[in-house]
Amino acid sequence: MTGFGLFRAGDLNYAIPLVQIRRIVQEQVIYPLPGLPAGIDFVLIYDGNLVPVLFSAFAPDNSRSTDNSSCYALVDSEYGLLALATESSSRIVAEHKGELSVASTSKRPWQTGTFTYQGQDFDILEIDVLATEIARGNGLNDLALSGTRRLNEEETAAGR
Amino acid sequence: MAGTIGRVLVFSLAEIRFVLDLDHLVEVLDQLELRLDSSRSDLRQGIVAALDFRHTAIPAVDPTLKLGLVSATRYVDRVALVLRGSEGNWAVLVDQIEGLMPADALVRATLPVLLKATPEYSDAQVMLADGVPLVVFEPERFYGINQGVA
Repeated sequence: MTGFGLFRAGDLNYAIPLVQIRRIVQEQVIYPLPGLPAGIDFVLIYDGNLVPVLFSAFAPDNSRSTDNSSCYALVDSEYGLLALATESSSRIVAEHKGELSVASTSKRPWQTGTFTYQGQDFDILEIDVLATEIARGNGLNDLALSGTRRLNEEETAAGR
Repeated sequence: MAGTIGRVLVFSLAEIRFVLDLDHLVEVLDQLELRLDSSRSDLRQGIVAALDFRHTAIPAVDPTLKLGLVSATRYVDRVALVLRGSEGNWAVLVDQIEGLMPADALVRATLPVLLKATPEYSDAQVMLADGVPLVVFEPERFYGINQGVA
């Protein structure tokens, strides 16, 4: 079946081609590490390996780290496995059930188009481009993926 | 340091767990309020205070400055790990001691490609203990003539 996984992280609705989704995991503990590139604030452990977590800034209850359990889509990329934060309301939908449109002037290089399903728009992610942008150090400036945790930390420090 | 062979110290800092080879450790100090003199600092080197250790003032380094982390724990409420260095003893201020564990309980984690691509992780090590990541704390990165080189 050709289709998409449809996910939501806060205000962000996004779609991933089904062929790239390895698994959806729940009840995962995520861990902060020092010096992570912008766009990645945490890692999780899957099958004994560290997996970078994306979109955690958009997910609910992201302010705490090691005691935070949520839902993550494990997605294959040219840079290895990535974990994309999502709410538990994710679903798999066949391509013909929705409407595809190609982004004409995409503001995000990693958004290739839009998949509209039941009146809701989901940004279709080009996961390899997304990972490349993070590897280039554009995760914060161009993608606006991150920053919430850092902002929280700065506020904490200011109030110290 | 008899009895420490094959064991490591686990501590936390800014919600991140680190692991330290006990060969580096001289002593652990808490209740720092009367030991720290923050007027003697050199922030360019990460030194936030002088620490009174056995009637000698030694540099106390806050690793969060170099790591870009923020700890909610005040310096006086932290724990000082006194380490031996090439220029004498110095101390690192951490949030909390988690405990000791046998070194063979740690498994080296393979770093994701996205992390290995960054300078911070080009030679960094992360270990796993019961599925929990522990960052290997390398003292030479934080103080001494070779700091930042390793």
